[in-house]
Amino acid sequence: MKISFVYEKLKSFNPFFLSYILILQGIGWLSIYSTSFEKPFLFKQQLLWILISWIIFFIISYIKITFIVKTLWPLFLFHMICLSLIFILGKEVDSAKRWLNLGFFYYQPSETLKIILVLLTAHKISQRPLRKPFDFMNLLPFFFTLIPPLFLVFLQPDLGTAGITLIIIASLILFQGVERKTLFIFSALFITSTPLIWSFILKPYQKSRVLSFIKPGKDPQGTGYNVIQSKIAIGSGQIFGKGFKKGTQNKLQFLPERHTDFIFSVLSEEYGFLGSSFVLSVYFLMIVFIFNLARSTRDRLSCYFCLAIGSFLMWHVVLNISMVMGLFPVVGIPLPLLSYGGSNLITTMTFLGIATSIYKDKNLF
Amino acid sequence: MIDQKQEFEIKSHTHRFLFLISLTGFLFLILLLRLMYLQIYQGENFKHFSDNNRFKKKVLIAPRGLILDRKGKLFAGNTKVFQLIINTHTPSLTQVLEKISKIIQKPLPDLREIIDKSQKRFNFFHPVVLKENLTLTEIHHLKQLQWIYPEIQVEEKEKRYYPLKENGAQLLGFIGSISKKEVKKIQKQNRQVYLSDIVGKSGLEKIYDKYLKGQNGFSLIEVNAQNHLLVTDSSYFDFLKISPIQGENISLTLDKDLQEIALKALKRKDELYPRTGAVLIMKTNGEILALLSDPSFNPNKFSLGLSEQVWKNLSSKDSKVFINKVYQEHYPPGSVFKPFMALAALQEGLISEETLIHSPSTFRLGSSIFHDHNPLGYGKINVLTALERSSNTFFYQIGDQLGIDKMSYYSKLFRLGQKTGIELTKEASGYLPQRKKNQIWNLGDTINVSIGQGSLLTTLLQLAVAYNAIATEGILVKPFLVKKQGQHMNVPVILDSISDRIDRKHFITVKKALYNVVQGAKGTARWYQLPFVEFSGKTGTVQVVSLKSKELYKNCLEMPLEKRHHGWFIGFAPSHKPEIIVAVFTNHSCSGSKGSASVARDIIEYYFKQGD
Repeated sequence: MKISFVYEKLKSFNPFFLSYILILQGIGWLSIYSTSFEKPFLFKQQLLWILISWIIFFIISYIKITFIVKTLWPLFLFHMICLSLIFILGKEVDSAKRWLNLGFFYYQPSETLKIILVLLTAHKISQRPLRKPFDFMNLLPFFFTLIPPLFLVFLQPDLGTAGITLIIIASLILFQGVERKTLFIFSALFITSTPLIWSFILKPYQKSRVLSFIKPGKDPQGTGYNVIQSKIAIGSGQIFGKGFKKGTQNKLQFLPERHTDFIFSVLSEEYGFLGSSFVLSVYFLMIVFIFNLARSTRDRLSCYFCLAIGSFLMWHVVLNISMVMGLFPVVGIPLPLLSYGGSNLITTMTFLGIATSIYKDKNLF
Repeated sequence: MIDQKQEFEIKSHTHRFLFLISLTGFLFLILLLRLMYLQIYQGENFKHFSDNNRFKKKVLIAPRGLILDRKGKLFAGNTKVFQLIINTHTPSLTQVLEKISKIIQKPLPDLREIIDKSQKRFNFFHPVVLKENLTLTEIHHLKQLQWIYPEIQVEEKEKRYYPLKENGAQLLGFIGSISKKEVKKIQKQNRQVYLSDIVGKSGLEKIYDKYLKGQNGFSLIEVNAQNHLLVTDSSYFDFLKISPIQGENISLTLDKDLQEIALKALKRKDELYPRTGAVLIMKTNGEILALLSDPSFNPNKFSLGLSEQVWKNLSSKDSKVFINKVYQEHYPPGSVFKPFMALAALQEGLISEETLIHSPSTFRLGSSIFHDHNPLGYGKINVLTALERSSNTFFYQIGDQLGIDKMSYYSKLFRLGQKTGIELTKEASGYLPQRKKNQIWNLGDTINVSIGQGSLLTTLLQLAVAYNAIATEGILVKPFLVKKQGQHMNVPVILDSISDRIDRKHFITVKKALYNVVQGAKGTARWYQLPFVEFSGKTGTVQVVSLKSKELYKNCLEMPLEKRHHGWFIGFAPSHKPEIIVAVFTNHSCSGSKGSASVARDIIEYYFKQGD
């Protein structure tokens, strides 16, 4: 009786989708376990985060997205307050203020802000008149809503988060379609503002990261060196890898930020090309699943929510892995489901919960 | 509540979905190809590191930029030397050190001390440099020893090289290992810095370090589990190597040949040999052609990490060798100040070119008596003769009439007693006595200042700039000696033109007098005329200690060296169309004429012979 009840409940979930999540989280957790030999509390804490994130996932999968939409504006205001508070009360790590101390853990509002901004954009796009591409005036409200919070994140300074949120939002807007003229104006604006941003807004360390990517000799001790270490870790894994807990690059602490942004290097070293290409394929299947889900929805809100979630995953995975393989400058972008850290895990699982909610709804019809 | 229209729109976007999925596929394909490149194609290489997994970063210090003269000749460059490095983390350290001690002839405790210091500076595993600048025989023996003890390394290294040695050393400065303080300072400027960095410690090397230093590179060296250096073919790791970028060159306005001639002239072989002092040659637009101060030190000894002993010797013997007497030390100008007094008196209308003033051998003010260096006096003379023969009593009377306020006003016009603003550090400002409002002034001081004594202090550089203003009839330039740093070109700067405050005809009068100093029948420097070029100038002799009146006319050369007078000569050539200013200061040379004008003569002779 009870078993069949659980089965009935689970039947509405997609088993493939659930297993993608489990596989990635599992590999991520093993890699964190392998890196944290000197800090054992890290993998215990991550296990706790995994459990919490699944609870959140299941709760959200039972919430209708029409209700989620109603919570977006209040949450937006809440985040604006949090981000402002960070400048007064925030915890400073490496001269960046990104965390709020909530007593039992440090909360990073910029992570959850990603959800709010991305969903808000998706919602606004879904309300637009049908089959009408954006023109310049249509885009202005987006501009004025998104710039203040992103600017606060940028000031923390967290270039990575602010940047990737913009990329995801831009992908959504482009998918809906933008008039040629407007597209031209924005490209022109972007190109002209780049040198201004470079000389007036970017901090020296941010510049040095970009420079060290373009020209590794500029900063061999700092970020250029990290990327080389990361490349050696990945490369030395070869086809079959060195095996669980046998990654020597990682052991000897040559790898920087091993458990967070550079987790992919750890797993590539230990599980080799087979392991890392497997992880890549799982990500790929998961992203394609979500994009296909978007295609099969019957209302625009669901469609754009799915697109938002899909591009969120896609850009995070592509940029993080490019970064650790030396194809992109080092900016703080975590790898969803694999990197250590509660805020990012919960953000990702909230998104996946929403996707599941849409999936279940769709199957009702 | 399915909206048919909405559903239709989503379906109409099919090609966009396909594009999105293809884009994802494409990006993932790139990632997969990159993975294949790193893990399969380059995998062997990377694996090699990881098998030993003990490679370390080794900083490749960038060669410093060169310091060149106006024609591109070398003032500071780099040469290669060999150094001995040892990895101290070895069980056989004592044996190795004993062997090395014999080869490089350094006692064992000294070697131990070097190791201790290095380990404090870096860390336990950091390889220690035991000796830089190995001789060929040492290299030969060490290479043999290396077969038995692989912890020994003989390595090529760049060394700073100053071809002129002592000449101009204070100006060029020297380099050395970076200090903790300097590390912090550079970190604040957000520039990369390493503990093994070499930086400019003084002079131009320090001021322009930012340009000269260049960008360090790095390579990876392999070490085994115990951090032993593994001798491997370093080219194997070239794909991970980042080559250093040499620093930018600095071009000076100096002329290396003239700089050498200037020292040769200072060391001219006559009864005053060997002179010490300072020489400055400047073009009338402010470009400095030569600048030297003697005694000096050999910066080549510094560029290889100065040994404790050499340093102690230098600093205890005479730390003055580090002071550049051209601009870092000030002295009373003595008689070379007189032309400015003459200009003041002429401009104020106290005298004209023809005014005759009775100038006996003494001047009395109240109960004080001021002497002239000439015990016979001059009779009635005008300003031309007074300057030509350097009469003190003439100028005592002028000074008495002018008063201290006028004197300081005119001295200020020529920027005496203030920094010239040259691009060098620790410039001395000198001192110009000035009466504050309502201050009671001792008239005796006025009399002393009127012949450049008393509390008046100037640097050689200031005097050169002021005489340049006389030579050019009123143009004050900013002296400079760096022509080009990085991409930046420096151009001559005119700070002031004072021909509106001092009439041109007065400049001509004074220039006539300065001409007579050298070319006239009774000029104080008449012995140093040149057949092919006429030059002008003024001699000056300043007492080092105050002398009793009976000592006053004693032969200076009979006094102990440290009591002898300093000699000045500031001149310009050619007299009628000045091109260069030559300023010479000689310590304890007894007279401005024999001591300094002779040096200036040699320099001018060379300069204009070259010009032909």
